[in-house]
Amino acid sequence: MTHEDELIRQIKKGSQECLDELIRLYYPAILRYCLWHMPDRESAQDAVQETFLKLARFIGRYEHRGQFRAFLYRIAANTCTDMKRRFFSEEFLTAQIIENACYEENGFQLADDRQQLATAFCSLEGEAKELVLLKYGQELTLREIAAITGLPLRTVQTRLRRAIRTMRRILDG
Amino acid sequence: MKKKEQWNNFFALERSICYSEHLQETIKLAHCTNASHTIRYRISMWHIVVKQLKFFALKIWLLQGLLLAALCALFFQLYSISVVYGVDAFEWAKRVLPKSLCLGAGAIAVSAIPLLSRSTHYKMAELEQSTYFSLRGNLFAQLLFMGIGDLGMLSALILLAIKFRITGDTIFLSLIIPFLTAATFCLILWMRTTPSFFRNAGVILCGASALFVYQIADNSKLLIPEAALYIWILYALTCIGIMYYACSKLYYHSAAETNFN
Amino acid sequence: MEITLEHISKHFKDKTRSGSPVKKAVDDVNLHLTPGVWGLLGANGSGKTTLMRMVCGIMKPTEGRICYDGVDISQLGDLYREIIGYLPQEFGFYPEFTVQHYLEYIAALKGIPDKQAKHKIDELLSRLSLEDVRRKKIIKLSGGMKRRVGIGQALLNDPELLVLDEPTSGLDPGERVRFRNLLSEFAQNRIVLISTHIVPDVEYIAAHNAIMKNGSILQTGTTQQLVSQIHGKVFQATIPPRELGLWESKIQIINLRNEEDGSICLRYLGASSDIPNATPQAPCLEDLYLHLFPRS
Repeated sequence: MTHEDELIRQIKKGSQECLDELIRLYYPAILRYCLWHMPDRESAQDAVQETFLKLARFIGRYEHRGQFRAFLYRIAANTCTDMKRRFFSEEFLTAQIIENACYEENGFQLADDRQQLATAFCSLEGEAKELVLLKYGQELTLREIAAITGLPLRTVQTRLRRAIRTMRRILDG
Repeated sequence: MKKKEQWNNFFALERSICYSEHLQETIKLAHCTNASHTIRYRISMWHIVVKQLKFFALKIWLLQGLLLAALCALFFQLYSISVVYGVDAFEWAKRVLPKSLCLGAGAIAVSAIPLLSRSTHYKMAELEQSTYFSLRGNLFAQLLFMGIGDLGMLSALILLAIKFRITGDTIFLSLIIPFLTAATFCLILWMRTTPSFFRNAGVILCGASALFVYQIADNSKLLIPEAALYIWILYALTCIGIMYYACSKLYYHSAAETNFN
Repeated sequence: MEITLEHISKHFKDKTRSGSPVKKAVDDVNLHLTPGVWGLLGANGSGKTTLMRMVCGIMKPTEGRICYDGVDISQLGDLYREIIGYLPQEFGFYPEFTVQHYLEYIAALKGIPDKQAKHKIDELLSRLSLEDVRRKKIIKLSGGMKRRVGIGQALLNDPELLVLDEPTSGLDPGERVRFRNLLSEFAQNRIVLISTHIVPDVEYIAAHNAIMKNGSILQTGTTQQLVSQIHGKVFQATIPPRELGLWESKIQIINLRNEEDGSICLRYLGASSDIPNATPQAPCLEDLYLHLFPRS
């Protein structure tokens, strides 16, 4: 049994400390994920908070079959989608993502190669972007990505490969 | 590899983002949410089985018992008729028993059909489907009870065959193989066809499959006597594998679409 | 607590026609359900039952998603059905079941522990006036009593979402009134979704209504909001019987009644000038329903 399995088991028994630990464990990764989907840090933090509140709501009944990460990321994905739909337009988001990726917190512009990567990434279709992000940004397995996106495993493999090829083509000129 | 590292670094957004304050706030709110939604205690699957025992098991076993009694009664009636006509009844029985066992195997497998159709026949399926345990709880219990009943019936028929000095390999080919074939076929039909087709055509198809495979088994004994038994053992294991796969698929995916007609 | 339906569609293969045309039983339905009684109105075949099956999680939508408190119900799986109480339009009973046995059986399938189940069954039998028949076989009960048993099983697990598909069909008027009162009682702090084509059954208890036709939602809103669109268009007039044929083809008749003196009292939709001496009437939901689903 992994540490995560044990945490979930204890949370179902009512342990608040284990819930805290689980949130602390996944908060940075989910925040990173939301930063890629939301136009600014404030809305990303709202999305993260909303994700964990939904987790706290349902974890008592959640049936653990070793797919916890996929469960959590799907909640995060749906939360971001809902918030984006309510408040932001797609063009605005794309511009913001490039800006976020290219600038440090203190306002200095990042190296050219990171800017190029950002542009190449943003040229992908919505679904391809999500696959690349989940694989490289969140370092999830293909099986988990399939569970989160609802796509068959084969389809995830094919589309991911195609997305990487497209990005490489843009980066190489 | 440098490119991969570059990509990982890029997507990981490596920069210092201070989030500890927001994290604490999130944890505090999560406590409130978690506390206000109490964890429901549920009974286990075995608890459901025990409940189902009270409601259904006796009925299932009674039906199977009556079927077994009818089969045996028919056999012994014919046996006593042959005695009356001065035929060597024991030899007659020995000759006739393999085919009778095959028919018995088919009958045992087919007896599952009315029981598995109960939910849809009495329009309980939709309601059962909407509960927490869904059709799973029912299915698991029904298959378990039927399995126990089937084992009992098969054991009784094996004892009968032994009494008439039928050899082990004949019992295997004329009872076990037809039973496994009919039972596997029954499960597959149940998964793949509509409930009304299953109820109406299932009996004929499952019974026929038992007879059909018995004929093949019987002929194979003559054609390839040495290899026959091993091939059929492999076949039996395959049937058991398919049945296990079918049962686990039904068990884990019972909340998917169901045809209620 | 809320249930959100987003772009829900359900397609079936239409086997009655050649080729493989697709029949859209439910087409792009969007609904946001909050605690209270919701009426889902529509004629037979408008897709109500299919929609309700999807809301209960026993049928997967072809497109769209259903969210419970923001989480997709396909992710929650079995957990979602824990909060549901469902009474299908057509439901039966195993013939050997008494009322008590039936409720115990469903309680077990809902995962309710024994002690809790016993307590809940006693409470429900009392509230539903079924205590006298608890040891009677269900198939021997009247239609109204069977429906009450059906409601009882739906409430066993204290559901947050109660889904009732045509709960009053086949009941006599007395039973329907009783049913309406029961539902009002049980609707506190829950989402209650009732589908019906008998408008009066929900008109006085449903705070919100959704009207469904050919798989799509035509309109949603409170009863007041919905009937306001036919405000000033409902009239009542008395005509001699010989004129009925004349008016039938000219105006949309909602209701007619034979009076003692032989004349006919008409309730209709139209303009005040249609029939002389017509008096305006306050519109009700049934008027709107008949306006949207005229009898052919």
